[in-house]
Amino acid sequence: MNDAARAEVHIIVDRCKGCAICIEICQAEVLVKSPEANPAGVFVPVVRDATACTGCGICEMLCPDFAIWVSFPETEETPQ
Amino acid sequence: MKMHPVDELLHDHRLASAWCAGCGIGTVVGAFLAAVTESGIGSDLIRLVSGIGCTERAAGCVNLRTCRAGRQCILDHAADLKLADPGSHVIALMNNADLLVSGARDLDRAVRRGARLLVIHINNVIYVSTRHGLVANTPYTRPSWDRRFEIPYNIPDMAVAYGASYVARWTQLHAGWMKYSIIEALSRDGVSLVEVVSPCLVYDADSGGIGESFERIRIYNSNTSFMKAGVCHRDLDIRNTESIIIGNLFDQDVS
Repeated sequence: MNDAARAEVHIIVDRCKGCAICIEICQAEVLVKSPEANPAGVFVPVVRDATACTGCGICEMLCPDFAIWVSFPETEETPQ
Repeated sequence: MKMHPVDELLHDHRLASAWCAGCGIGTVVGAFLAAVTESGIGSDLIRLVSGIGCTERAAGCVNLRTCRAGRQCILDHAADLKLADPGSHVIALMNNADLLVSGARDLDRAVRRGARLLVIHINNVIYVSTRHGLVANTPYTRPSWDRRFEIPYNIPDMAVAYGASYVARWTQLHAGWMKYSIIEALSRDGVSLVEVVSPCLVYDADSGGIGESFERIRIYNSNTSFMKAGVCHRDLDIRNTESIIIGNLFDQDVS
């Protein structure tokens, strides 16, 4: 299994303000805007294709609201 | 529950009302917190001093030892903090109002006092439209409160002229490089300055400027170029160049 399959994208819906920077910046087009708004009226990003994520983490770095991050579950369970 | 990597350093209940959607200040704070985590410096040794305006809210959002200095004394306050606690790492988070209305004088004084500070300057590209002070750091198409135009500051050139030991410039898009610049600057003696070009969303929307936050990411991508050998510091003026020159602009050991 490669890194792309292991990367996992997490989104905190309550923190997101819907700026769509993560959608714009993702080269693998993992994220799309949700068709439904959250209780705050924000169209948060949702994961379109989790297997397409390369785990680059640029969405995590650029998100101004600390609402999205990428983890690698298998490597977390077996630390080096 | 899984958490964001920098959640331990955040007061997350304050984030909702801190900044506008897509504002670069949040990205800068995220890069700063990631740099603190990766640098290996204990978070108890970090002192964050913030000034006025939107950047001031960073002091309330991070779970570090922070303080808010009023106008006209941020760098003096930071230098005093460093003198009182020499083992700490003092970071001053400033916007145009903090650095350029009166902070330029304080920057000069901090360099001459030999203070070891890191100044993270968020260039929000706005005038301070009060009658007490103007910040001429705005493109010449935008007037100040008296409807006049002024020549913008060339902040990296100014910092080098004052004697800063490390100067870098990035934009909101270059958060990864920004993080490594902050790590590098934290290890330097003397005053280091990391400028982040991140225009105010509200001010730009009012003046028909850059527009939505995700649109400006494209602009940052296409209108920036990395520092090359032979580029004079006078060429770093945002106004006079076809593209904003970014990168580690100046690095000199002053110890």
